Amino acid sequence: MYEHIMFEWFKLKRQKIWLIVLIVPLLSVLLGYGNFLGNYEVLMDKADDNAWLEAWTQITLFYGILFLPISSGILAALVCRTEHLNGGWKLQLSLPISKARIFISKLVVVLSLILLVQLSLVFFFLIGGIMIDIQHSIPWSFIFTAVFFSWLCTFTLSTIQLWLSYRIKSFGIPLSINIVLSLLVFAAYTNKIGIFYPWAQPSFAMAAPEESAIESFPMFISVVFVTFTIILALAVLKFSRSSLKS
Amino acid sequence: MTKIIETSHLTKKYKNTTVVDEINISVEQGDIYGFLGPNGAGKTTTIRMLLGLIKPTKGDIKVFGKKLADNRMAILKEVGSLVEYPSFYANLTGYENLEAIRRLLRIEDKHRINEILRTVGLLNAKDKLVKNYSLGMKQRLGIGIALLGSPNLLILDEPTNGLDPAGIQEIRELIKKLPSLYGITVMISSHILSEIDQMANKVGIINNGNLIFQDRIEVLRKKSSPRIIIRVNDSESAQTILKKDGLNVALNSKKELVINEIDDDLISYIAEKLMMSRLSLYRIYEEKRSLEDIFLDLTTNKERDIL
Repeated sequence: MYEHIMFEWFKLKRQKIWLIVLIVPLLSVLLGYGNFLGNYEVLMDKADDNAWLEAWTQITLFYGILFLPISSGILAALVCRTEHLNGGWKLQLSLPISKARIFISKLVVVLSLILLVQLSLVFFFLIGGIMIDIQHSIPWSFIFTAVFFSWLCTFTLSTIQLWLSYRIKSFGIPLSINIVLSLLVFAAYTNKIGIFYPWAQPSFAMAAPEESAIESFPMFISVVFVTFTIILALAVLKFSRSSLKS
Repeated sequence: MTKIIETSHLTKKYKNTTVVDEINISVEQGDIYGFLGPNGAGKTTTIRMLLGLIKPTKGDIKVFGKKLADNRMAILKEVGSLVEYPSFYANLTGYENLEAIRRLLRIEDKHRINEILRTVGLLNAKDKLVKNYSLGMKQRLGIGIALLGSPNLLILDEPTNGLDPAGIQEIRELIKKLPSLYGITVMISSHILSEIDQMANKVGIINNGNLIFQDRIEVLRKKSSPRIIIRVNDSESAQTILKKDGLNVALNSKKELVINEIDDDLISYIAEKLMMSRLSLYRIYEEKRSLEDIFLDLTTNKERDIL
């Protein structure tokens, strides 16, 4: 399995992946802090408000709902792009590798890249906070829990996006589908069954404790885990059974 | 001889069209098997089935004596392939393409890459991005990738597709030396007979999904031996007269007599016989046929009876 993952990683050379890893978090942080500073009085209305948490909420507003699902979609499309362009699928499928491994290796690479995006977000978040001179103590444990769980929440999402990018040869179509589905996250927020919606799950997991839409955290994690298991099993099965299109 | 590829009643249908129809391919150890047919005859579909890229509608495939359906992984470990167009990663260099696949196949020996690059003549271009390669170089890289895992069987689908004559020559020379160099069996498809003629020892011809010929290339060449064509005023009665003499005479599309013998005495005897029967003899000439003609005859279904 290790060499399959390394194979996928190796193929990303010169694909300018770092642009997504850096630009998306940077943009989210800039927008978030902009919003935070613009509405400082409203956001910091209570005496015990921690500026880090308030700023985090503003950042994740953009990042969790829109930028994260969209970038995970772009990353999924990127790991499939080289395969679509010059017969990579044909090449891989005629090598002695099981199809399930091909799919899972690609998923592992996408998820690792998302983790990098997440860490880069934290990095810019801290830099930004230091630059605007936030005096409160950094809520380390909250930040890392939020980042870790929202990362787990991208697993289902990425599996679906990877499957779409495999089936659809173009780069733009899965991306457009993805953007539309990301916009539906706003609707998910107003609905009880919203936590089942894979595009909404990451932003739920990122929200600051007082803003959280999640009633029971263990319940939420079980939902995420179950949806992921089902979706992954389906995707791997479909991928293994699919015939090569011309 | 050990059978390397053996198919029985291999069939592929897409909805109502039968693309490959009950074909029985047989490739033996050490063969360079030329798989010929016009474009759209079913070559690529057959090859994709041989590699397990698509599933047959009906029929069995055995590779190295093992059923493909049950032993796909084990079989693919010993097969190198290039299907239709070369597959590669354009964002990587030639060397990196081979390196990526070397890691994937867990080939320990790193020198193998340079060895392959030398074999396919890309050693000087190894650090160039593949997107800047010419078509011929991409084809050769494709063959290099196919050779990397030291396969026992190499399946090449139209490896000279879109190449200029010099490029075709290079690929041909490369493929010809493979069996002696690595002791491998090669199956190579093409729609141009002359390409195959210079390297294959066995030929299978597919047309409209049917395998219409499969034998040693010498058998195909024999069909290209010259024959005598006689034009007379009444070919039907001429045919009847000669058939009474026990001669094997056929008619071609221009209603001329076709005789597969060129013996001088026999021809003179035939001429005399026809004139004695008060038939007007217009022409007697020898027709030399190239393998291309035979191929065209076989694949266009014309004059099937005289072959």
